[in-house]
Parts: sequence; C-alpha cells; structure tokens
Amino acid sequence: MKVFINNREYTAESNETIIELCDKVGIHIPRFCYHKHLSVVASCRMCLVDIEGVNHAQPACSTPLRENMKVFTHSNKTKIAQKNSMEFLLINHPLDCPICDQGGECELQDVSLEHGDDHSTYMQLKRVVIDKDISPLISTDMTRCIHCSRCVRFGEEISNVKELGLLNRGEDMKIDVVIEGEVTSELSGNMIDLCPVGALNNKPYRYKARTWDLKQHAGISPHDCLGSNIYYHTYNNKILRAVPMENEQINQTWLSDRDRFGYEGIYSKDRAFKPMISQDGKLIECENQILLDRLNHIIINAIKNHGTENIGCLISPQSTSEELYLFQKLFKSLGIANIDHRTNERDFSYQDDYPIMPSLGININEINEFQNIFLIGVNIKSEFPILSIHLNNAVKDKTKIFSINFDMLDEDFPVFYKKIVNNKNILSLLSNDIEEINVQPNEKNLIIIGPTVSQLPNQSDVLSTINKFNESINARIGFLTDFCNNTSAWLLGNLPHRDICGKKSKIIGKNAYEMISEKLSTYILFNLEPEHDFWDSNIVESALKNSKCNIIFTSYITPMIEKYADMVIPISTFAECDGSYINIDGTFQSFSKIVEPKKDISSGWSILNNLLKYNSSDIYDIKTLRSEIKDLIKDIDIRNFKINFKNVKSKNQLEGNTFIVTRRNTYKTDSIVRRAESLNMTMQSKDNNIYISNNIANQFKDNGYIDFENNNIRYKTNEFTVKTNLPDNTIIFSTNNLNGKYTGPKSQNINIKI
Amino acid sequence: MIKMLSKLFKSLFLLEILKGLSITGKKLFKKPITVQYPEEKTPQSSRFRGLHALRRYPNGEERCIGCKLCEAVCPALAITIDTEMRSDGTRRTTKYDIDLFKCIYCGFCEEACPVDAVVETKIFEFHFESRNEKVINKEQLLEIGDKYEQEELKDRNRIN
Repeated sequence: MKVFINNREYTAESNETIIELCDKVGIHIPRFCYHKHLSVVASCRMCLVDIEGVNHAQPACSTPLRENMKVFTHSNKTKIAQKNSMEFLLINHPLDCPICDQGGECELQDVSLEHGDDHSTYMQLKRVVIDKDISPLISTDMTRCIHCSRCVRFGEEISNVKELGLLNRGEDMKIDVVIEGEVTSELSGNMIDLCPVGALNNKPYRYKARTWDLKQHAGISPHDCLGSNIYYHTYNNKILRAVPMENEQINQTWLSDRDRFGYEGIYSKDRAFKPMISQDGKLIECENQILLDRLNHIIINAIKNHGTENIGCLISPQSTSEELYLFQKLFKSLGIANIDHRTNERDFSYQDDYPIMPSLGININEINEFQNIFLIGVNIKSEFPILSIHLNNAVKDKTKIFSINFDMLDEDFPVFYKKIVNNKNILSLLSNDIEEINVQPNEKNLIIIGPTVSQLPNQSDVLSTINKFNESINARIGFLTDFCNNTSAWLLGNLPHRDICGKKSKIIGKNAYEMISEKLSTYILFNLEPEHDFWDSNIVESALKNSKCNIIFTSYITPMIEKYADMVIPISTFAECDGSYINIDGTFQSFSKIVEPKKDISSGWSILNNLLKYNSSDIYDIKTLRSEIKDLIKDIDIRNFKINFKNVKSKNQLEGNTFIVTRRNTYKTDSIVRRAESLNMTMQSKDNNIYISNNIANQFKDNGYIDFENNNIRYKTNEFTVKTNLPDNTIIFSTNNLNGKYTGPKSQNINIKI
Repeated sequence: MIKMLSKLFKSLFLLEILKGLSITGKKLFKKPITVQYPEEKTPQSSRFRGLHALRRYPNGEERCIGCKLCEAVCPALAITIDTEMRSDGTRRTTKYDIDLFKCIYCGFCEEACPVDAVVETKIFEFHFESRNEKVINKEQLLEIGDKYEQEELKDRNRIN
C-alpha cells in the first residue's frame, strides 16, 4: 500500500496506523498515551496529524493508513493542533520539574519544549491530588498525572493484575488504588517506565540523582533463568536504578521487580570486603598477596592428607559461565570428582538419564504457539514474572494452561485446570486419566517442569511419572530452573557424573547431598550461602562443623560462614565482574563490569584463573576464556533433545505421613535478592506464614499450636494459617519461616506428633 | 599642496603636543579617580558577581532544593552536589561544594537557580591560607548567605 508522509512515498502494510509507520521509518510524532505493547485509546490527543482531505487533525495512533493517504506531521495545522493539546495538558501540571525525578527524561518536558507555549493563559485554580502510599517500590505524585492511562492499561492487558484504576470523571478524574499499599504485583515496576511524567516514580531511587548524571551499562538479570536484558544506571560508581533493555525475544520492554530492584543486594552491609583466614577460631583479615599461595597450599595439602575423595566442591548455579567452567576445570585437573551444583536437591537417581542440560526447548517468545501448557511444580507469577506476560498473551490466543503445583499460589493469567498436590498424590494424579485434562496428542502441547520438583525427595519418581503421562499427550518437555545459570552448570560439567557437554566422567563422584551428609574433610563452597542455598541447612551446619577445612568463596559473610569458615575469599557479585549466562532457551548472553568492586574484592573467575596457574599452563583473559567456552558448546543443539525418564526410580523411602514443602518465595530466591532492602518491604517478603491443610488443623484444634520434630530440632508454633484448598497432610512454609528459624529440609515427608 | 602645508604647520608649531598637554593640564586640577585601596573602594554594581552564597527563606529554611541545575550549567565544573530525601520527604542536598579555583564567576549558577538559592554576592576580597580551603561547602555557603542576606535583598530590589 502506497502512502505519503510529508510528501515522501512509503509502503505501508494494511491495518498499519500512522504512528506505527512513522516509528518504523523514524519520523517523530509526540505522544503520551500510545505505547506499542498496549491498546490504543487516543486520549492524550498529542499525536494529532494533518491528513489531506480531512477537516480536523486526526490522532496518528488510532488512524489506520489508507491507499494514497497524504499525512503531514509538521504542517501548520498539525503544529497548531499539537500546541493546543499541549496547553490543555499543562493546565493542571505542576511546575516542579526541578525536584521531579523524571526531570531530564520526561516526555512531557520534551514535548512542551518542542510544542508548548512559553506562557500560560490559565488563571484559575489548579487541581491537586492527595498521594497514597501505594507500594514500597513506587512513589506517587499524582498531581503530576496527565491521565494517559498507560499504567491502568498495563494492569489490564500485560500483567493482568488490575491494581490502578481511573476513578471519577472530568476535573475529578484521578488514577488511584482502592486500598493503600495495594500495588503488589511482581511486575509493578514497569508502571514507572510507562509513566510519561513523574507521577509514578522509582521509590528507592527517589531524589538520589538527576538523569543527566547517570551512566548506562548493559547487563543480564542474575535472578531468574530467563535472562532478561537490563540497563543499569550508575552514578559515582554506584548502581542507582535499573531499567529494561528492549529484547523482543525475552523480556520485550518489561522487567520484573526482582530484576529491577535486586541490585540493592550488592550494597548490603554483610558484604565480604577482605580475605580472611581463621586463627584460633576467629576470622582474621589477611593480605591479598599471600592469599593465593596459602589457598593453593591448603588445597594441595588436603588432597595429600585426605585424598581427593574426601574433598567436596560445591558451586552455585548463579555463578557466571566463566566461573563455572574454571571451577570444574581447576578441581577436575586436581583429580577431584566430587563437584556439584545441585545443592537444592535431595534425589539424584535421575541423573544419568537427564538431558545434556535443562532447557525450555523453545524460544521464550514462542510459548504462545502451544495449545496446551502444563505447569508442574512452578508458580509462574511469583517465580518467573516475565514468563507470566508471555503466558498471559498465550491465554488470549486460546492456549489452555494446566497448573499442577505443590503450593496454592494463584497465577495472574486464567488457569484452565488447577490442582494442588503433594509429592505422593502427584504420582497417582498423573498416572490416571483425568477427565478435565482432555488433551489430544496431535495438538501442540508443552510440559514445563518447575524448580519445586527438583527439591522433592522423590524427584525421580515424579519425573518418570511425567514421562509416562507425556506418552499419552505427546508433548514437548521443558524445564525452568531455580537459578539463572543452571544450563551452564550442566553443560560445563559441574556435576559428579559428567564432564563438559554431557560426556561421562571416568570417575563418578559424590553428589551434592552425599557430599554434605557423608561429612568430608574439606569443603569448598563457591558463591553459596549455607543457610539458604542447601536442601537441608541443618546437615550443612553439622558437615561444616565436623570438617577439617572449609574454603569459602563468597560475596557475603553469613553467620554460618563466620562460625565455620577457615578461609573466606571475597568474590564479586554479577555487577562487579565480566561474565556470561546461558538462559533457559539456550541464549548465550555476556555482560561486562557495571561498577568497580571495592579494593580487595576480585572477580571469581580471576581467582580461579590464578589458582589454575599453579597447576597448569592455561592462562586466560576474559576474551579467550569466553571464546573457549563458546567453542566447546557451539555444536550443542539446545532446542532438540530427547527426554527419557522412563526407567528412573527414586531410591529414597518416603516414610512420614505429612508432606512439608518450602515455598520458593519470589524475593528470597538468591543471596542478592534476599538482601535487597526495598524488596524486603513488599507484601511477598513479609509473608511469614505457615500454611497447613484442614485435617492437620483439626488434629491440633485443641492445642492451638502445631508441634513437630525434624532432625532432633523441635518446631512449635501457633502462627499458622489454615488453607482449606490444600491436600490433606500438607504444610507449606514461606521460605525461611518461623521468623527465619526454620532450617529443615526444603521438602520432605515426616511424621508429626499430636 | 594644501595638505603638505597644513602638515608642515602642525609639526612646526607642535600642535599635537599642545593638545595632549591641554588634557594633562585639565586633569591636573581635577579630583583624581585613583582610590587608596584598601582604605578607599570603588563603587560596585548591584549585579557584581563575587563570592557565592546560599540563601534561606525568612523562616530559616534553606532555599536549595537540590535540583542540580547549577551543577549542570556550570561551565567550569566547579559545583558538586549530592542529594537525598530528607526525613520530611523533601529533596535536599547533603553536599554542596564549590571549588573557587575552578569557578570563573560567570553567574550562570545564579541564573539557573529556580529558587534563587545560590547567589553571587558582592564580596570579592577573600583569601585562603591553604590550598584545600578553596572548596567551600554547604555550611560555609549558608553562613555567607546569612551574613549578607540584607545586602543581597537590597541589590535585588535595585535591579528589579
């Protein structure tokens, strides 16, 4: 279709609006209410353009192009129309740009400079709106609002959580919440970006800097396995805020609150700043220069005195690919086979049948092509908020979502079939034909296995049941993992039974749980927090207590590290080093240093690299290291892999009658997020409840408290909530419950006493 | 020919010198404009741009709102500001430093200020005893402002 804009000829597609074409070819049209991912309302009237043959100027956002249409975006008629719109928008807008955080990047400021008048003829009273405290993440100055309704439409269309609304009409119209503090969605931060003025702003960033002072650095989200693209804004070598970097494949123009505010964790007070060595039971700071010699000496001695099988090397899958690669390379070259990253797991019988790496098997943005999606052991809304946007779109395209989860959390998108299960009845549920699940094998089906499954003591049984269930529906099976870089950890051989790219190891080492429960003489923990990152932190505590030597590479000094570490090596977080993550759809994404670390903190990979120098001739810089990793994995077909868990059987006996599961609380998933101050003030973080099923509540009715024993530690509490929709004999803990005192296994079956 | 004659006439009777001497003679009996600094001082314009100051409102509240416009406009990069949210929820500076060696006394900061907080007073006689005194901080600036507020007000009224 041929159209003319400013007398130049362009080809347009049918149904394309004027503003879409202009954005594509780079002609600027001012706008406030239009956003490419939101519906069109044409309420701000800022994008009015002159069309030949039409008497009045028309809004470019809602006018579709016609054959031979002649549009003028800079004609006199356009200019007058835009100037008049601008005058009305500025009637009630306060002149507080000097203190407004939006100042400098404000769309209203830009447009009024271009199209506004330099004086106002308005002499009447101005509208004032009283602000409410809507969220610990968003600050409001609602007097500045120009009623573009982008935030309202975001809630209606994108996140599907209707939190903000337009109340009243005319002069009294305002954007508001009904109850204060009601904006609690995991995606609420996006409204900050959407707001074209300073009405909704970033609360933690409030009044810290001006936009023109900030430097922009690209980064990758370290908090979930989707790998959202982020721009970090820094001032004086400090990250002050994060905004989304557009990537249509992954996060589009959105960002979850966890990714947006998670960076605060790197400024926590308990950061490890200096290398420390224990002397007489106390940690003493030591010089950086002697550290490496000493470290190497300790490791060599441990091998000599206790043998390689008595050393356990554990690494967090939140580490970068470079760190993961060098970690296994270093310790495997020393002959140590006990290397693992699966610290959150208990059952490892599946490991030989596991695919080369966990993967979704499809591109993240292809998810809406499926007709039926089964979510097993995952709450998308809280654990993968960005995926929630994709699934919400999928549901609009008539996709049916089937959710089978161990928790009763709701999703933000409509779920066709929902079942809350425990680790025993999930087996029977999936083995029998369920009437409601009427899925044909010739449809496009997808099964997503979530991170809660991996915590189960009978994980292998669940996997094989899913495999059996899949035979009848012929679905594609994908995984979602608990950390951002599990894919790399599997692929680069941080496993006791596999080397790089899934090659079988010659010697099969101990898995993470065996290492901890069998009480080895030396532990090397990389980037792991003993209190939270293990399946059972009680066993970790006794293991660290009884071992001869604990070498801990960490960014944070936790109480347990302070107590049991023999050597603490401070390492940088994601923001202070170069690195790469492989996300769940197999995209290799690299990022560089965002801020300089404090003096004695070095990046994890450079420490490992220096240790490697003692034992081999391979010396890397970040470029050669990265290209070596890329070369190793370039032949791996990430999308097509066969999953066969048919013959997998769990070795653990489920003895107890009651199923306990710890929720993977959105803002407690990794060590950085756990320390993010503003995220800790959100409703999700404050949830400190124990949810128990109806029949347990009936048993304890007379006492008013529940009482159970776990590894000789007794838990007795009267703070619990009864949930009638939970299956019988189920207890759910929000992570680190009992005010941080619950330290038991993340998921297990126990007997509870009455 | 006439030109040549007039030139000859001028140089012969030293007319140019007499002209010059007549100015000297006139000034000789006039009051001299030289002032005996520091006992005497020349008059200053109300628009004089001297040492900086931060002003307050009559109720004692500091005017500066930490908008950083002066910092942004300063061509010599002499101003450094850090801001925060004060406990009452307003935007305030925690640091307001002016490097007086870098400053070129152009007065842009004064012009940029939306609340007339930073001003350049008529003080031009100041010295430092050590090099690190060249950076004056928020307290010093507010002190100068408090001291010269009345004169500043007078100057402002005169200009407006």
